[in-house]
Amino acid sequence: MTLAPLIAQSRKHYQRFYWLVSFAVILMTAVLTGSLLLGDSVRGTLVQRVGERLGKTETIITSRTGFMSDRLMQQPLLKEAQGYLLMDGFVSVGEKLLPVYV
Amino acid sequence: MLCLENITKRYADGQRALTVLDDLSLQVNEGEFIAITGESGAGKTTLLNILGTLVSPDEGQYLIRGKKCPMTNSGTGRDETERLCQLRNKEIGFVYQDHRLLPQYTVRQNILLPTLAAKSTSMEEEEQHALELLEFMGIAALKDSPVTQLSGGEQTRVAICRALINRPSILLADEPTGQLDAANAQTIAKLFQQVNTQLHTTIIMATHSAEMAKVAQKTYRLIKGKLMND
Repeated sequence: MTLAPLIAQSRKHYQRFYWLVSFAVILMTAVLTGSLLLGDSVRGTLVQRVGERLGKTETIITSRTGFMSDRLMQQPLLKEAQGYLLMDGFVSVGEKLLPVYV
Repeated sequence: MLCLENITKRYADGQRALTVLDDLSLQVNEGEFIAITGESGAGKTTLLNILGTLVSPDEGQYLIRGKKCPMTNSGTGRDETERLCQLRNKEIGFVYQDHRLLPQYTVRQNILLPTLAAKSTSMEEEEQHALELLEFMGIAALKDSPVTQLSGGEQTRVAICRALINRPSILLADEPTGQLDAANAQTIAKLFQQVNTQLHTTIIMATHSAEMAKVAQKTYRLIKGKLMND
């Protein structure tokens, strides 16, 4: 009795299990790759939308809690920056009101 | 032949240590058949695992033929580990309650597996020895059957053959008839007796069954980590 036929016999005995594991690995890899590709695509689309609406924009600084100080705009680094006032608002579509930022 | 001196074994149980074997000593002479009885959780399996060098005691020493047995501690060197493997493979045979046979192989292949680890020089000789053991156990006709098709009693016989294939001088059996009915257990008990008398193998068997213990020459009871003469 030698080792090689024993290994072959063992592989044959457990082949259904091995196929199942291989299928699960392929499926999980496909799901993860798909998610990564989709996420990358969504991120790319959002960057594109920002570019279309705000022009050539590198960085956006926002304050969700309140107004920013004027002195911030006087910083040398923000020399070419544009200040905007962003407010919650509503747009009327038919009989519905949709929340938007203005 | 085997000598356990002041063996203590503890297991961590949460924050406290549970002492399973407490300053236990045991002397086993060549060719003896010893039964160890005790309740579930008394430490029978731990004692057999120490005798089989699968587990190291926390205190005490284990001598085989007067030589200190290498232990399985993590600090053991490569030479010591090699010596321990050789000792287990050539000197000690194990029979477990659940047989631990490999379902993908036939009876003959299961029996011959330990010879691969022992790197036996003559496979023909080993095949012949396996056949003799199968005849001794009365299951020669099943040599090419898959082990999954055998009854519990037949599987126990195959497990005994596998334990004996490398001609060990010590056979350790942990509840070998635990899953068998009374009639089959009696047959296996007689086979152990024959192995002891005809092959001169030293047998140490842990069992719940008083009937099974009767076939042994000496019986010890394991109570609160200590061995008592039964």
